[in-house]
Amino acid sequence: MGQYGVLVDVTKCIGCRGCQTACKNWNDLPAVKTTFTADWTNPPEMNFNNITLVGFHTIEKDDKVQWRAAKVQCFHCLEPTCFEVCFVHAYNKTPEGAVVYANPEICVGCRYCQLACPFHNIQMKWDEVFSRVRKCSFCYNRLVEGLKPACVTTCPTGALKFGKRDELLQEAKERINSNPDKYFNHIYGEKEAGGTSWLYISDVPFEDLGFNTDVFQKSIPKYTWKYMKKAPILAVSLPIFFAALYAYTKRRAENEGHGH
Amino acid sequence: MYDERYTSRFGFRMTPLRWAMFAFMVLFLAVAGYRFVFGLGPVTNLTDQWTWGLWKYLVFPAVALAGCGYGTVFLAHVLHIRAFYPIVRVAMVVSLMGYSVAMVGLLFDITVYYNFWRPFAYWGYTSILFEVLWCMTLYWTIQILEFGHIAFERIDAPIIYKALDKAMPVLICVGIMLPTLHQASLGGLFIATTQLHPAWWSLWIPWFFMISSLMVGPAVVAFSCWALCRIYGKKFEELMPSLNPLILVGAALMIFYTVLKVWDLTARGAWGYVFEGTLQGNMFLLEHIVFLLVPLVMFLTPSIRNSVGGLVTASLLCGVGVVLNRTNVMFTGMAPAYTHSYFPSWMEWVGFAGLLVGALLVILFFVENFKILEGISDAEEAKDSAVSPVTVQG
Repeated sequence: MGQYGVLVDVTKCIGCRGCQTACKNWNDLPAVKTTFTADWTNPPEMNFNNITLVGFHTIEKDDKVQWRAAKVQCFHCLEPTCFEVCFVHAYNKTPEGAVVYANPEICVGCRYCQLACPFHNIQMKWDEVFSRVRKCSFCYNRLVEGLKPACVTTCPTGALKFGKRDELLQEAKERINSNPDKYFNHIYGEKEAGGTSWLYISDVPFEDLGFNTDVFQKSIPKYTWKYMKKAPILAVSLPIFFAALYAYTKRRAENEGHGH
Repeated sequence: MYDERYTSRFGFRMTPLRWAMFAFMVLFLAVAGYRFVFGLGPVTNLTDQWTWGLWKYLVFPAVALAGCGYGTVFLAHVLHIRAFYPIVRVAMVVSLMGYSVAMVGLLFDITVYYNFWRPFAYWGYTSILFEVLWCMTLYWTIQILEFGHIAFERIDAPIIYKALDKAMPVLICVGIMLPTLHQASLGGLFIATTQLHPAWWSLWIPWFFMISSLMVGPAVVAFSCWALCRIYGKKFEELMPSLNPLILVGAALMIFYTVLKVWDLTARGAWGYVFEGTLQGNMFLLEHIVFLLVPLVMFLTPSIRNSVGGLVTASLLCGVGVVLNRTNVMFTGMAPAYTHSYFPSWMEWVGFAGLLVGALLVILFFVENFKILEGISDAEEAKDSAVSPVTVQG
């Protein structure tokens, strides 16, 4: 079974925020009081009750000031760092491609997942005593029932397209190749952090949409695991080495002690 | 072995400063209570971006400076080098308190604190934090047992003392492996945080953390011995023959660290980030020139190394350098990746300072009531000449 993904075509997004509302409806998230900001991004930032957010960006293109809107949520890495760095297995990586914070009851609240997320897309409920995190679950409870994620179902313009990730990647390449003048030649999510299930194409550079284009281009867990797998070897060999030194130098010290 | 020379009762000399420290601890306990009842949100200035703040930060310099324990214990107890016997106990006690600060600090920092035991039951073996927690907890336990070996010289319980005495070789050998692993792993935590500024982010960061914790050890021991000698009116000069070779071990490690750093920056082609003139680049230069190369040169100059003022000043610089390194990795180097700024709330500062003041009070209590500053007891030293211990009751 191939992993699922979503292709986001920023050129088709009209910024209606239907996805934001659908996400709140499906996940039963309360409304939050927002503040007025200079652009239309509302609320100004993602938070515990807004795990997806349509970001609005003013861009100068073709000598005109234009708006672009791009929805952001957890990108569902193919090799998720949050899953890798959790020391209690609070996260699940499902065969469908969804990265789910599945076991909040065993979460310690160390927030290493938040720190290590290459896209900073994990949110914390700070106003609670035993606060835990929340992130987009790819509507995993819908996926297993054969439904598309709530945001995709709602999108009226086809800016969000749900399907198998490899097919979507193919389609993204075709869209760019068949219209190279329109699209900026970059599929965000193809290589970022080793690849993500959510793929983005756009007619403007991604840094103009507030995306971190400096993000690590390889799978982070590969590096952490390369380090971690040495630990058991060291844990066994070092004490043996120290014990040998201990015995040897102690004998020497004793011999010297008898010497005088 | 129970030492009959201890005749007076346990005591703690109170001075105006110590009264003030206790008063501060009352405030600290109030803040602690508030934090555990209301959670991190109302107490701290943490955000989704700055999710690791002052309390998590405290673990890194505390454990790094506590690296004075395993390095000195290795030299004195594994390699049995007599020159280090007089100072090894100071190193052990400072190290124990460093870890205590870190462990209590971690409990303050995790939001679901009643789940603190979960990592031991749900093996998240892919996480470097998993290794850090296991090693730190085990090593903390071992350090408490090692301290027990000192404490039961005074507390008359021969069965416990003998059991600890038998276990000591095992405790020592395992007890050096554990910090070797987790000092590296504390750095390894930052492999995953790829947003860290490239001047510091490196796949070698585990080894930098490990070596820097070892190289700062002699400096911490020298400074602690000096401070304790001043407080208790002992002659610091008497410890110089022990500290001098120890400092040279530290200096050798500092040279190794510097070479590795140069190699790492060259291999990654990251020199440009060092000289880019930003806050990050300048802090990197400050850390490595003023607080690494300067103390290194001071340690290597015999006239400075052999003078009390020079030794203590260089040790202080070296210690500040390692603390600055951890600060840069956790704050300075992360800042460019975030749009928010972070400054700890007053309650975070009180928690931070309270843990340090508390640790200081405990160190003072230990030094006043147990044979710490005296070094390894005569009995133990005699035992090294294969004399079987005799228990003195009374």
